[in-house]
Amino acid sequence: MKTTPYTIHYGIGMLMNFEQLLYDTLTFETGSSVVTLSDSEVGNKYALQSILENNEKLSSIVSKHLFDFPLFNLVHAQPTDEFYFTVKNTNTLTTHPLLLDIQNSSRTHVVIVIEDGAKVVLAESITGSAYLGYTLDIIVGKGAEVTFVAHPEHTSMRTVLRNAYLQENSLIKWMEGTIEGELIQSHIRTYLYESGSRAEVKGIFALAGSTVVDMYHSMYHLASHTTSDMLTKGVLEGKSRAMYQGLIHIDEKSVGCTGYQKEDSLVLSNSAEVNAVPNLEIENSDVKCSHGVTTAHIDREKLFYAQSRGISEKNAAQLFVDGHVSPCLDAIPDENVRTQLQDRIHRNLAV
Amino acid sequence: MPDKPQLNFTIDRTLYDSANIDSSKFKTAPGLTDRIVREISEQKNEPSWMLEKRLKAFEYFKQTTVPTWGPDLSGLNLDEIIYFARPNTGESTSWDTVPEDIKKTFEKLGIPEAERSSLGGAGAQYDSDVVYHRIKDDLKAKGVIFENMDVAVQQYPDLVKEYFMTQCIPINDHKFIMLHGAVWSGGTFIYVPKNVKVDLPLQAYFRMNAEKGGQFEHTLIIVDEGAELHYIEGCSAPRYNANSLHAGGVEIFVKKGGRCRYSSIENWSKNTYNLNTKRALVDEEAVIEWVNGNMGSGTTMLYPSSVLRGRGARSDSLGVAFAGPGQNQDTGAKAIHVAPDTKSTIKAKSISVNGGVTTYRGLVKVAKGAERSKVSVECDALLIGDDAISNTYPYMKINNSTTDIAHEARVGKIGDDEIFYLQSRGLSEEAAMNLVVSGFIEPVIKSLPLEYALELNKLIELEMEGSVG
Repeated sequence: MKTTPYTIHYGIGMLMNFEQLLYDTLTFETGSSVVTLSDSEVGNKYALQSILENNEKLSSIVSKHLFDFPLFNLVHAQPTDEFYFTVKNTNTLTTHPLLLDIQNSSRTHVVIVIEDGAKVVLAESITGSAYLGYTLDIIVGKGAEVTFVAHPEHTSMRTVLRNAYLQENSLIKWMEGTIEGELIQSHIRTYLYESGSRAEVKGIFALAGSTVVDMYHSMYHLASHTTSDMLTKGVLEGKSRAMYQGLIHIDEKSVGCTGYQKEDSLVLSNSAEVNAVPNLEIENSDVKCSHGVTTAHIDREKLFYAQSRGISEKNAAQLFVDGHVSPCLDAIPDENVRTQLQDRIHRNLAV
Repeated sequence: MPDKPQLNFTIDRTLYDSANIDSSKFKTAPGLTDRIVREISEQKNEPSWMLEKRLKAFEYFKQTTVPTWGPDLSGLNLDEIIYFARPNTGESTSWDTVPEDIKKTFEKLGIPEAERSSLGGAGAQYDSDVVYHRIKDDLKAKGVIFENMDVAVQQYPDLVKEYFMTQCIPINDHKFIMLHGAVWSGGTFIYVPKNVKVDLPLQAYFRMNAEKGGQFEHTLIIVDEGAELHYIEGCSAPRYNANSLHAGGVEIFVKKGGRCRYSSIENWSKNTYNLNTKRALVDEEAVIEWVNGNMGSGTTMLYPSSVLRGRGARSDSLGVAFAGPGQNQDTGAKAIHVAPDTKSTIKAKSISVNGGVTTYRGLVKVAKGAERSKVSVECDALLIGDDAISNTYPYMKINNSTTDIAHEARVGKIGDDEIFYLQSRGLSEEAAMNLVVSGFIEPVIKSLPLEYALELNKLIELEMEGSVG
């Protein structure tokens, strides 16, 4: 991965060069969790198909949603690159993330199979100057736990679809940050298709300039006793525009499900636009579901109060932004990444 | 406890469902052609500009396809609907001259009784024509106009020409308003002059009797500066085997400092397609309040809208939808903020029972100039029975950095604990359930006049029957 080195704040009063971080190494062997990336599996265009052939339930879900998303269709039909690998279960949780580095590709398809009981942190990094399209399918085995952190990198245009298929009692935690770019389309879909599975999405967008973002977080509760929780915090500056859509779908046969969804936007400029569409589709009465959306601005009086206490206007605005995004930012397990992201938010919004 | 005899009344479903023998003096053939549109206009002896409007709307209608979003409308065969049916009577201001069978229908529905006790005026429409309407003399003396829409076209052409399907709901708004524009008949026209406050509510009742009928009443309300009005609408239709269609249009203008409350209880039969359009244009410091109860009809698509175009305008929208087996209630509200300091609140409650589908579909739009606007949206859904479905599709489009918007929705089933607690206090399971449901819709009930509140409560109780166990 070749990124411009950033000097970031690490801990209290410590500075660190980005290139010195673990994230800059492209390794598939981290800690005690071993990743096999066998030659025969790389570039195998039929990897997902062969998995689907052996799993009737999964294949019915995939075929049902195949035409929902144009890129998904395109990539599945004709991927230029398909990568397939398995994360083995070694009964230990690794704190070092496994890096997924996507560079300058227009039709990459990545399939990751997480074996039963495996625990892993995946970090995704997307780099490339031109258009970028990318599809990810994660099949999470029984009792497995995945934390997925999507790095916000600078690409002018990108279309990303990430799918996760959750088996019994498995857990996925998505963390997505969206900051720079021209047009960013990002969908995260989670199919809770076996009972007891849980999913969480934490999203942040901090937009400035004329960035346009289209994000769609959806949860399909296809089995009983599944739980989902979505939280997105957005900040808009300049002429940026954001389209946020959320969906909690509870299937008619899924009983005892819990779903929660929340999106809060902080609008800093009168030329910015936010569209929020949180949807619920509930086909079963044994359910607990709620959602909420708010749009707010920084109150002039609150800014004035902060200034009266000796905080400059810029710092005060920064405090408000930090406070606004903190519930999502805190969900990032790695402190380095967290500080880096916060830094980028400040830089992008110029607060 | 003192007796409250008025609370002990019951509603007999047959009262809504049973039809009279069809004795229309004029009825068009099913389906819609240019000739029928001309025929309707001719029968009403309308001025040429109205006929032109109808024909133009019909032209748009032919070119537009049925919307593909929302509930399934494939069961609606537009070629089978009878678009115009005149009851065998003229309009009357006295109950005595209304034909016996029609009078009986409305008496069963309680119209004359309500008028005597608690209304400032009442109107009743039977299929395409208004058969009765009356307004209290003192309101008349103050210059309040409460008229049948057809009569208003003849008597107040200037007012009607200016406001009728022009700025509020244009004839090319959507497929069913185009249809409405082509074949509209009857409805209410209300004008409240400056600073006149109408203390008692005005009421209209719409009844569809003809089989495979269509009712397309148009309601136009103009509340002038500083005036106040409460208008109530009730609707029902008998049950036939064939589907019928209701595509009404409600336009409300609330001028500077005016206040209008529009309440409606729609209780169409279970095979009616209720595709209704209601919209208000709200000026400076004016207030519009929508209270909507949707009980009947097989498929409903109804989203009362408020365009807040004057500084400080306000819109309050309150709705309750009930869907039993086979019903699809796709309702919601829209608030469009285009002026600064505007405020809107939307409260939507829905109950789905045993296979019923309720959907909240709403839009909140805050334009660039609508500074310091405030919006709050709350949707609550209650699910009863195993296969009840509830959907929520709110859309918030915010183009402004000085607004505060909040949206919340909750979906849940009726709590086993609550029911168990009430049962332990000696209530039957059914009574306990009714109590929880009444509590759930209480905010809506509270804003209705007593007799309507009772009707709504009873209707829901009636619909709930058999949902236990």
